[in-house]
Amino acid sequence: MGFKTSRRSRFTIRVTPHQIQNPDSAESCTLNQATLPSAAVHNPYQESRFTTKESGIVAFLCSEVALFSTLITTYIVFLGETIPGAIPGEMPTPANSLGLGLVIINSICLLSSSGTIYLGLKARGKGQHGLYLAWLALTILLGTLFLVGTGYEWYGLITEHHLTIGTNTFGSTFYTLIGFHAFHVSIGVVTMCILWGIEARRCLSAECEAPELVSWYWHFVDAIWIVIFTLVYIIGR
Amino acid sequence: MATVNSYSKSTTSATIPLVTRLHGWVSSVDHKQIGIMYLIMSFIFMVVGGLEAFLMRAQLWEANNTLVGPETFNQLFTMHGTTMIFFVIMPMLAGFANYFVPLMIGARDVAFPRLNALGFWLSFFGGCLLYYTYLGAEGLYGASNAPDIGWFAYAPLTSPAYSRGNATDYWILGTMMTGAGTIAFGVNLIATIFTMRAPGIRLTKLPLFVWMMLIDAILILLAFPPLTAAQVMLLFDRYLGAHFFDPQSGGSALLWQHLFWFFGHPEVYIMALPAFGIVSEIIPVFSRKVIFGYASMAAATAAIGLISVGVWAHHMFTVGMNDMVDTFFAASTFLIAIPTGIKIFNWVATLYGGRLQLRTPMLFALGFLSMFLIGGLTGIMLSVVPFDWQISDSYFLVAHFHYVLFGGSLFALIGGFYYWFPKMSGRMMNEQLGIWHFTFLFVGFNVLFFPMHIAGLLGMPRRVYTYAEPEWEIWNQLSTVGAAVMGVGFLLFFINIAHSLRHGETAGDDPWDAWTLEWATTSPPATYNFEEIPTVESRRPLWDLKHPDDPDSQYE
Repeated sequence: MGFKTSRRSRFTIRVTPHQIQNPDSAESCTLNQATLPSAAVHNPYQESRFTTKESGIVAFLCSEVALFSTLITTYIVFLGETIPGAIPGEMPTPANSLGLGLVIINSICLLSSSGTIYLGLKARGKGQHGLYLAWLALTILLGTLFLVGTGYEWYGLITEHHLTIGTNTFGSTFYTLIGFHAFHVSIGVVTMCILWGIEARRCLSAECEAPELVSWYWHFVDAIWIVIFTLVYIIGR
Repeated sequence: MATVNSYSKSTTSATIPLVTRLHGWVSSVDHKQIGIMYLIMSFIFMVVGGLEAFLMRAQLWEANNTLVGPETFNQLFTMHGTTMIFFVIMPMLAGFANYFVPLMIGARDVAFPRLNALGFWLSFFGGCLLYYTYLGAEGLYGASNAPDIGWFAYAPLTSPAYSRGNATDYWILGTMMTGAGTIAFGVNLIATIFTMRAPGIRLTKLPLFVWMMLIDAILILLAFPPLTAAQVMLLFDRYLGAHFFDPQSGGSALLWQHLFWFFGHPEVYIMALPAFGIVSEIIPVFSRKVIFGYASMAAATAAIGLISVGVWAHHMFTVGMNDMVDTFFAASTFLIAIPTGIKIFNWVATLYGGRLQLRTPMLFALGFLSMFLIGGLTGIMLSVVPFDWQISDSYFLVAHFHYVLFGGSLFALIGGFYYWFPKMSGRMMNEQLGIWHFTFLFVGFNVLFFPMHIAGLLGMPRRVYTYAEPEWEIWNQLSTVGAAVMGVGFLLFFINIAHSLRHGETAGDDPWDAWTLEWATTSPPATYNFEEIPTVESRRPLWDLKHPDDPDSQYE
């Protein structure tokens, strides 16, 4: 007979209608309302400090910490190592190829974007939707600037210092560590663009946790940058 | 209950076409269906991995045998190890956790059902990707070729120079994909256990299986991302010309070992903790007693989780690290024996004075207890550095970790399957066949793996396709006979499943007179699990329900 689930009809949790601030625009939402999260649903379970989605994102970010720890450890392991037999001064090293100027501007962009997304969420909490969208757009812009800056820095490293991922272990670890971080920034930028598109059509209820959780991810990416910046550009240079 | 079953039987098989039913499975986000799919996946790969093991045993039957060549043998042990770890034990524990954690904590589903489905399909297709190598991966001679780098893929075996073709890339991508699925599973489990417990289930009232799965999920989040990072580095080495693991260009082959075992050792506990959890559920029920030392059991689990991230380099004593490092990792390995010992004593104390019911699940739990003990003791032997130097990479080691992973993890997981089969299918497994299965498996297991200790002490190296010493033949022949006996045992197991699914006697909601919440609902449970989320007052909610005059809650 095989495994079967019961024949009884699928239980549906009663979802309170989302409080859409602008009922007219609800027509334009293509997303299924029932799939969108809402804190207004009655929680039948034991009280907990974090909501389910918050716990999920925290757990995910913990796994990200483990990932970056590995990359950072690898960077530290190869710090100061050169190719056996290479003439000192000929190979690109952190000291002779990394510059601080551009990366400081980059860091200012990225770190201030943590502030702008925070201000945006604050505006959202107060119901100032336009202001929120503006802050979110500024965050996206700052994130993109960071990526452009990183790309420009890499261009300089490749053309002027002839540092590629295959040059030496410094190149391998540097591009992998910075690249992984930039990849995470890109994911954040894309996610925020999607969020902006959804929010511009006002498809999320006021209680929806998604914007908050996206900001957690973004703060995490910034925090990791502080560690990477300190290690790669200050201690390791 | 019975009416629900007969109703579903008559309608489902008669009116719903097969394609629709299959579509229902493939597109399912129900934690119970995904759990069963994990189990099915595990059994499929178990057959494949078992056949690979048997081929190796056949090759080792006599000295200088040429049944399979060295290349094939290398592929066999690589695929066997990778399969058994990533595609048999991991999906099996994920299957049980998926099915039973929500039921045991009174939840309607896991926290993120769609993420859960994604995790399963990533794991499954990761396995398919690995096995595709037999058909389509370009190997050394241009022919199809499976990876032959060992399950821990040491550098420089994986470097482009030594590993031509792309079998190694399939190994990397397949296990990486599975790892991503496993991380999704871990995230899901943590969110479920932390936020979806029924009212009254505080963390101190969680069933021990759930406790251990919680620590397990945390370990997954700590251990799998480093592997993913290391594998990305390896891909960069192979395709972008990076130098992470390439000593000739300043890279470090040793770094791969560190990164791999930083995943690899917690992984051993990731596979063992669910087994501990299952045994902690089975032993009290079939001893008719409360588990002895609930709090110390939970604390020992947390301690194992903590210490297990600090023991990885005991896999690398022979590499030539300095004495301080060796001492540290030997000490931490001794240390982890303490919480593990606490658990063993707790289980034994639970058995002590109980009215034991030697049903199949209990037999497997007892088998686990004795076999895992042997594996644990040889583990302590191996953590003594000078002894390890002598014996590492011999068959003694192979015997040790099979006693841990097979005699330990897999025995308990199979016991869990017998224990929970009635809940999943609504029918009992055949007891007689079950006892035969256990007997064949237990005897076969010991005949297979115990002689490996001796072969190893005599100096037989692992991972070599043949040997020249005729005096090793007897131990190898014993092992091969044991493998055949175990094969019969597994055959009986699959016959039992097929038979019981059709003809097993109806189980009812609670066939074992057990105490945890999964037995409070129908067998199999409805899609929504519980019509009303139960309120729980003690660790044994069903005991309270059956004995309102003497509830547990007044003692805890």
